[in-house]
Amino acid sequence: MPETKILIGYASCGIAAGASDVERALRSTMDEHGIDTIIRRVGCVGMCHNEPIVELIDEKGHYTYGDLEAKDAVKIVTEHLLGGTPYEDKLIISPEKQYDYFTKQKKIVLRNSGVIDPEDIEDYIASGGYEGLKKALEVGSDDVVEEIKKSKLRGRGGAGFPTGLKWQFARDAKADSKYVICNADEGDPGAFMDRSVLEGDPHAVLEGMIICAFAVGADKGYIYCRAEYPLAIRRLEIGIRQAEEKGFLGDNILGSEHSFRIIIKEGAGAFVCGEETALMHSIEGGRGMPRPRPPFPAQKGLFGKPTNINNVETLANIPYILREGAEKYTECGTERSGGTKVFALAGKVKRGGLVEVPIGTPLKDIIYGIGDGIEGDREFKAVQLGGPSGGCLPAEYLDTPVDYETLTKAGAIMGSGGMIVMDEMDCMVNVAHYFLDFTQKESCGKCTFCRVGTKRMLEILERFTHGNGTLDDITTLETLASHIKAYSLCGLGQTAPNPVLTTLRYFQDEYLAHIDEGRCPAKVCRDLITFTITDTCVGCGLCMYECSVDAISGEKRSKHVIDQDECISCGACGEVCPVSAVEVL
Amino acid sequence: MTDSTEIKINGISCTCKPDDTVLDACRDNGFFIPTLCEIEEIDQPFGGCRVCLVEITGPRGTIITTSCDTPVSPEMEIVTESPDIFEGRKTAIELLLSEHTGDCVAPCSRECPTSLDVQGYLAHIASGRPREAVKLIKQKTPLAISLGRACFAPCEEECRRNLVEDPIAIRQEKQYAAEVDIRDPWTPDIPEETGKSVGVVGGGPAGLTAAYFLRLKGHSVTIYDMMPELGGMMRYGIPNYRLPKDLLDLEINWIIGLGIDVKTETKLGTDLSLKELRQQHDAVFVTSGAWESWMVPIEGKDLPRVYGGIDFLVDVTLGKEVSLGEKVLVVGCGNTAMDVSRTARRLGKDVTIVYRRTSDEAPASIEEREEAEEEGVKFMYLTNPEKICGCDVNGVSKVECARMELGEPDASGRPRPVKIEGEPLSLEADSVILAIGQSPDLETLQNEGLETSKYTMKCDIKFMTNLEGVFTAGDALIGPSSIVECTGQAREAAYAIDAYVNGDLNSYETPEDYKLPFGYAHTDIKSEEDFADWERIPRAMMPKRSPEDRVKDFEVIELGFDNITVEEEAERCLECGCLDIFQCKLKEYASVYGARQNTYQGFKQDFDIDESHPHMIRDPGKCILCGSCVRTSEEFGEGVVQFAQRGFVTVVEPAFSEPLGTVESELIGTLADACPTGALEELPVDKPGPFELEELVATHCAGCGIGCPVSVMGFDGTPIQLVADDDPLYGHLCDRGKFHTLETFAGLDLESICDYLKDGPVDIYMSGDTTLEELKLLEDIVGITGGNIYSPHAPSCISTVGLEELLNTKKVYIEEGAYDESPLIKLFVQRALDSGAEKVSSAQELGNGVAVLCSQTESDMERRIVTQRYANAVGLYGLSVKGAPGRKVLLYGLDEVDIDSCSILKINTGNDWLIKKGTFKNIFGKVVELNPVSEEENILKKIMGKM
Repeated sequence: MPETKILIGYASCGIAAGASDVERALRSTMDEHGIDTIIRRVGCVGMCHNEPIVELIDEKGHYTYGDLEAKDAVKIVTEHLLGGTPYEDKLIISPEKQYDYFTKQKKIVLRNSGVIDPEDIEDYIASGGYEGLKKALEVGSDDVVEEIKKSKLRGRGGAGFPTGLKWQFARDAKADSKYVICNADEGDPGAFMDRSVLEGDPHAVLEGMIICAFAVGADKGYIYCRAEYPLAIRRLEIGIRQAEEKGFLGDNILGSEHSFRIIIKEGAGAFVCGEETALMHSIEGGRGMPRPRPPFPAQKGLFGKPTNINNVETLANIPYILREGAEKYTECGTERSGGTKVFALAGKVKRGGLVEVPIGTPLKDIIYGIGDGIEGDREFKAVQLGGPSGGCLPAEYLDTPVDYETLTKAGAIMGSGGMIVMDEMDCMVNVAHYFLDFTQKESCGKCTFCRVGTKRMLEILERFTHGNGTLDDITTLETLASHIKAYSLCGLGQTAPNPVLTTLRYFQDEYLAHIDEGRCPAKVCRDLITFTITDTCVGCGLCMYECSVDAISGEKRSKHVIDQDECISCGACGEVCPVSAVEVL
Repeated sequence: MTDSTEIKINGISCTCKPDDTVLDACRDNGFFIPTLCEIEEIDQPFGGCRVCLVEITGPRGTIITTSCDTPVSPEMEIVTESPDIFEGRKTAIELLLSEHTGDCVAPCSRECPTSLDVQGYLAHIASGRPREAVKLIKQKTPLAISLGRACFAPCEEECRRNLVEDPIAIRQEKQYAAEVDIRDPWTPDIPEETGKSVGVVGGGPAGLTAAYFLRLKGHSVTIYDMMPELGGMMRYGIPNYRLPKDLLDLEINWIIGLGIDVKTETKLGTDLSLKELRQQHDAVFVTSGAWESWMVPIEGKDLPRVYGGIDFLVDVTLGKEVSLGEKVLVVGCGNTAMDVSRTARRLGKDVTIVYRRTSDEAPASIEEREEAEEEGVKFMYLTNPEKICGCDVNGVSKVECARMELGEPDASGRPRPVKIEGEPLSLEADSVILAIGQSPDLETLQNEGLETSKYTMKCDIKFMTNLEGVFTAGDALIGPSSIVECTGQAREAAYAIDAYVNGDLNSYETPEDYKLPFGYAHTDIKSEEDFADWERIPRAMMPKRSPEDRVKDFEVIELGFDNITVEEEAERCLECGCLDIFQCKLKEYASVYGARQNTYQGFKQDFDIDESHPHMIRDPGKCILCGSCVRTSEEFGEGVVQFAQRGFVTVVEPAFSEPLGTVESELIGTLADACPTGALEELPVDKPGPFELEELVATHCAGCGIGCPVSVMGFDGTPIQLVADDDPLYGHLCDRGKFHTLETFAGLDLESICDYLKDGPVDIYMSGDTTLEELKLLEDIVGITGGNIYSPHAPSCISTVGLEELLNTKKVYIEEGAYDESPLIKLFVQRALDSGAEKVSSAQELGNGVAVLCSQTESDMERRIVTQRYANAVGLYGLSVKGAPGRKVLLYGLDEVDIDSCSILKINTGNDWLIKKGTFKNIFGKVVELNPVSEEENILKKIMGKM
């Protein structure tokens, strides 16, 4: 019978939503009533849409409360802890009340996230942590590589290269010293899978790295983590210290011949440093700029030595595979790809957050099943997969199983796991522009096609959104896109045109509306829309006060008018209008 | 592993080294692949420019990819040329061009119909080399004299100096140079006779130009001309006061003197037929000009004393009496109208020009209109003659005109003159000259079987008419134009004819627009604001005869610049054209792939040009981010320039965006060598043409004890630039060598030196760059005078191993300061490190390695390289100063030395190795040779001769 304890979501998402206020309220109320129930800070449980979240575990089971404020915390203590009756107002999950947000998921990578205290190694060990390492040391490095191969685990950073094969290459390379790198330079806009894993379960990543180092014969490891993740870095530092104290890291790990040390390298926030050769150059002290491959890192990597680079999520899978065995791992997944994939579900879905599903799950199950459909029950238009390197897929792809091959065939990529859902209010030309603007600014500037080519593409998209495009521009855009894709030096450039190419492929009508009719069907592109006030106007004057350029005039209680010459189409008037009298044309 | 790998390139079996890249393999097997970022001596490919695309069939299937970073694999099949590859390369180049800012050639040259290198010849003139200037002009036209006097100078309109104050007096600068040259004209070599002959119909600017260029190809040429003397419109259309006939005669005689046959007073259609010409010659060039005056269909045009403009000018030149009366009315406002009016003024007549538009639309140049006005020609604008009145006996009595106003623009873009009804105007006149246009004699041409358009001849893009082997150009083809248009076109036609008579017309490639041989202008039109801070220097004013004086005769008006004015005026040139024009790889490839600079037009960054360095210029607008300078600098262990920023605004610049002038480097000049464009350029010592240079002499740098092989580049004995010899071991110059400037030595009084030496004994101190030969002579002198011989630069220890040992060492130790004495040692050390050597921090750890030491270090290390600040220090080994000097000291070649002595005489050689002959011993123990640009007898030899 477990003792009663309280878990509070204390990852960046929870903290940002006000977890510390809730925690303070919990503690002070408990002090008042003289209760000393354990409160543990845990990582993200994945329901980012419900943060701050508190989970109360007692002999009856698990009770999850969400969307909490300080006053709710008081109620949880007084009603539930003291009174024994769950506080129904904010109760999301209880033994009597299941939540399909979770039941439709399969948690391997996120198994401990939101469950254990990430700053306490004992919590990790208690949940089976470092069992995988022990098993690895027991069976030997050859069998470890074989087990990973059998697991059909593929790189979760985006490209999907078979992890076992990658390890084999690094293992086969002959050298006096080798490196293992954990790529934690998560840079896609809207993606936070790796951060959540690092914040919620840092030991899983560390254990994965240690097993990997043992398998390939590396004695030194780097975690390349962006400096924008201070909490992740702090928890990793704590984790490394604790692992060293326990003998999981350092010389002669658990009495074996194997020695391994991990250094954290903080990245300065360049997106391209997620590319492995740029990342290595950055660790070496140089500018983050990709170099041609071959030589591949497994042959000649960091400081010229054979190097194995894996993504955070890939490594977090490793302890599970070793502990539970490849057979169990491949119970979910597809023929060619085992296990699960974590997605950062965002955009116009009702329930956004961190979700983990078996590879091969249809898009529809994620968006409608877990995400509960589109906000305001509007029409689904597209889903952007793989961030700025990925593509936008339309409704006819909703039945597509999410795996590496099918997504690539459709023009998108699995990517690192960004999944942004869009509805009819999103302009696809603008979406393409948004992502290309990101990659253009993040180009390292080295190769011609990426540096100049993406800029010229972006300028064409700008012409479209301003209503100055021509049909010839589409041809130029397509030619440039195909050249950039084919001839750029690294993955950043090679995938940069994807958002443009997929939107051109699936939403050409929208492009043509911008060009031929000077019209933005989603009413997003500012130069192509006008705001007017309809007869519904009650003359409250709110819009007039809100307008930053004084474009609105009108007497109290009579219809207001927008001066089109002054209006900058910011839309602020529409947002404040109490009677929805602002119309966009 | 085997020593070679078999691959296929363009279907041909080739072998290459197993560790080659595809680019290496293709190049070694003689296949061309363009690349802008590859540096041969650096192994790690950069892969930035993406121009080196090829198609590869190998383990990854068939793909088009970059060749610089793809290793060869056995049985790989490579294709180096295909439409897709071409497109890919072209796109990469066009993208680079879209962010590239600068003029390949200056706007003056771009505008010149003959594509004269204006900036180049102005630079020669500014540096006091007028004959070199003419040599440059004569590459493009033989008519320097005529153009210098009578060109309408479209270059001056485009001159950027217009945005500062006034354009350079380009035409008059050329006039000066041409008239200096014509006294003893520079003449290109004529190759061996080809046995082919070309008949040229018409001896005007086009005919003379074609004859000249065909002669320079070794063909025999005969000019047939209908007039008594050659020159065409230059002689008969342009009056003497603008283009004096004596100068024209000199120019024509010089051209004819190249071996051209001339038959004057021989008219096509009358005296000979095209058929005959085609039988006599391998090709015929018809350039018979436009000699027919246009006569407007106006009532009274057939009256006596109504003349055509060109007919009038020809008659006056031929000395014929032309009856004009007192009042002459000239119709039209073009250059011919000006010549006509001013000629009539010189005949003492009262001259009025009537023109139906305003002065703004008049085709005549402002300068000519002003001069005409000064000479008393009256202008009546917005006036159109409608009827010439008079009778058949007395000729013209008056001209009835209509007043006009300007309406909507017509097809030519000029406003259409519209008659104002009811405002007639009657002008008294005794004669009327219609100077409104000319045309070729189409009837004659048609009778000879040539196809014509409504107004002119017709030809294809290679200047060939409908008749096989008959070519045309000049006024006959384009209508009445100008010397500069005719000569440029005729040059191209001559090259086409040359290709034709050689049996392969296809080998003549029409430049896309022959006016734009370089083609690329990346600078948007600059505004006056951009030049707001520039110093205002007024344009030199051409001294001219006074208007009162000059209407008295037909003598020349322009009196010419003097040599000081002409140099100062040329110095005003802003040097818009790129310094790298002759080497720029971007320009070269852009031409090869027909890449357009505006295919992907878009935003460009606006950079300032960094002129902070005394010897270098950095123009980031021209940078293509190939990283060649960054990697070269890293290769030398300096890293003085770096990539900064991200995305489109990425730049290459010194750390923290500091100006280049603040960078500490001994090897910054190597970055200019590495740069494939004009982004990093070495500043020439003279005003930059830039010029195409030739190697004057191959010698060795005497800047330090290494003695790197170096080529002295320049022209006509004038050294302009020092270039590293293409030596696999050296191949670079440090800044001390590269930026070495020629300083001639101070005057030496032989008599007083000999007097000083006579009363010995004399101790001789010599500098460290005294050659072995000079050392020998100085020893001879000491042998006579008595005394000792020393060098304060003689080292106490010298190298024990050579360069090979350094390059192949396993360990290397570098003493602090060694790089200062011989900067290029950095390169050799880096190469040793690249091939696996280890750098140790103390001599104790060295073992069997090589130590690199300073010259002042005494060392008994077995394997050492001792650097030397002075070129021949090693040759002077053992001559170090011992004991106090005697009563008299002779310093040879030393700048300064502290010696307490009663008497010192200094022979300052100027320390300049560019004019020295001799040998010295370098730090690797090799004897290297110094070869002078121009040889002069050594002062020591002269002294020995006297003693």
